[in-house]
Amino acid sequence: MNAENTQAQMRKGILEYCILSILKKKEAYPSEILESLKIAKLIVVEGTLYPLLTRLKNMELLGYRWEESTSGPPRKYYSLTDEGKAFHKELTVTWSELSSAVNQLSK
Amino acid sequence: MKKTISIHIKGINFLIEENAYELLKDYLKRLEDKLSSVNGKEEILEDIELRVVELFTNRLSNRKEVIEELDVRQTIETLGEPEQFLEDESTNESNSNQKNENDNQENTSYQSSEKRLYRNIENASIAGVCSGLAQYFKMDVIIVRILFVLFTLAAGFGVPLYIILWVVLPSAHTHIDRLRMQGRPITVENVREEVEMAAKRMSRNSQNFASKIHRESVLQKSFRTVGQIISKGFGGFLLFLGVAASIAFVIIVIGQLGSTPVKTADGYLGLYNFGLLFFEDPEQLNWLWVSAGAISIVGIIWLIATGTRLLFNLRFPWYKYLSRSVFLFAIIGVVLVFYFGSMVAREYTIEKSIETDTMVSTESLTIQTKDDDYNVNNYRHNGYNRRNGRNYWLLITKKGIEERGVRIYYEESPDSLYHIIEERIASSRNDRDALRRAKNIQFKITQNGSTYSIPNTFHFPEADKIRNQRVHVYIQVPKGKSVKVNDEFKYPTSDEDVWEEEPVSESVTISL
Repeated sequence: MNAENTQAQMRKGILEYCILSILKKKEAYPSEILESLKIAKLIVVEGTLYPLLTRLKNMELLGYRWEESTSGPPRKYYSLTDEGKAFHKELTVTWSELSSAVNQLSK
Repeated sequence: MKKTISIHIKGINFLIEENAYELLKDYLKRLEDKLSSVNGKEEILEDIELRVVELFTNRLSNRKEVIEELDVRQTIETLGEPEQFLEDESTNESNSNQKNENDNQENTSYQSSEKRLYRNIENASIAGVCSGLAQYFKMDVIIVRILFVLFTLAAGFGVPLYIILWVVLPSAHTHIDRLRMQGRPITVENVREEVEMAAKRMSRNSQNFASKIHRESVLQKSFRTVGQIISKGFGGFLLFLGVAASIAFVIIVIGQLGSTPVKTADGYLGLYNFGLLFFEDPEQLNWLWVSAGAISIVGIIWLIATGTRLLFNLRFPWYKYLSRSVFLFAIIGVVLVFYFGSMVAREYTIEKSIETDTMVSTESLTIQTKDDDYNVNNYRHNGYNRRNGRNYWLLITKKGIEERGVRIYYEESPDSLYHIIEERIASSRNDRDALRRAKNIQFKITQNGSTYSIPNTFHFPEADKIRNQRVHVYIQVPKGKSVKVNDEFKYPTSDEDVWEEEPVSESVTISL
């Protein structure tokens, strides 16, 4: 097993949480989300994002609205629903538990 | 030379080289194939197409107007091959399925997974109350519905109970709601399952719809039709009530139509002024007035909205807020009614009476009564109420509030004298006020020789308010003597509502 595969798995596991975190700050359209994720080096191919967004939306954790754009096609602005906010809160707890546990173990 | 074609994606025009176009088409086709098993395929495709447009737009400039093969290749590289990101999706799914089998579900539930009562609008006959109850108690919905029908037939409270639950219970709109309704923990996996189930339900519904029309038995069909008719009929009834109530509200409450049985020189009293006859402090009445008005308005809006909704099968996004506020207002209304009710009821807790005894030493006594509700017949038929054509309860004159109906009782005298005892009675919240009000009752028996005329009305000041003021007259007759009673009254003609102009006299001699 190579490290790349494990790295991908690790990234994927926290991607959902990261998307929710980005949207918690403010609503955003996919390209903005991609930008943040790329800066954080959490995403390799952009396509990964879209099924995730649709799934989160179908779980009613996300909602969206359309907005016209002057420079291109209309943009789909995603935002957290109340359920999404609660979900994010729960994940934040889990994440902080996990990260402190991992830090503890890998010292 | 390369061939260039014009394409249209998401409302934006692009010029694209033919081989680049083929590449893009192929990519989108592969994507679509790969997505065919994934939920929300159309949306994912749409989002990706939008991203393609953005990436293309970024690559074009004044000097470069045509999308070339390299542009498409790089765009595909940025987005990734379908295998790259969709494999991930399916692995994700199998992982979570494994997780699901373990019992660490609780760890992933993020909100109270406590079971809650909802209206199950996806499996509803009327508003999903029965269906929601069935989910909550894990019963078959048919049993719950039958119970409701039995409740209605046996005790009659099935329908109001249904309406109350309809108003109070939220409907299970989201998938999270549905999980709570079923009492399942809210885990990502369960939510996903629920979403998938919903999609299946939806496609099943649409598939079944055409075949349903044929397959449905005559009985089922007629049940459904009857259900719809009942629902529409009920809606029409509510709408009618709402409209009638709003008209009544405008006329009686806002217009102050003389709708109460209290007559003044200017006609009948309106509801507000009628209220003033009971409340010591007008401020209290004002509070009651404003709150009752607000409750009525919300109630009327609710009746009209619910009726319209049922009758025309409409959905109002604001309906649930309305239902909640109706419920809230109803609670406030009950509290206020109890508060003001007890405030007024307190004014009737203490009853006091004053008696005046007139002793008459004579051989024979004649009592003249007139146009009376309670007359000589009371002796034999206590409480007999002879109607006399008046259609008001109280009359407000310059002298104060005039009330009719003096009760006359004939009793045996304790001694050898005739006694005429007048008793004035009034209520209040304490002895002093009750006594004062009893004293304030103006009532006068007039004497002419041995004939005593007892009027059938008495007065009290308006400031005293209505405090159950009454006048009783006891005629005590000594043993061996008798009393002659002349009673003058009007008779109804054969038509019960029309009264003779001339009073009729009736004489009875009573001895005890």
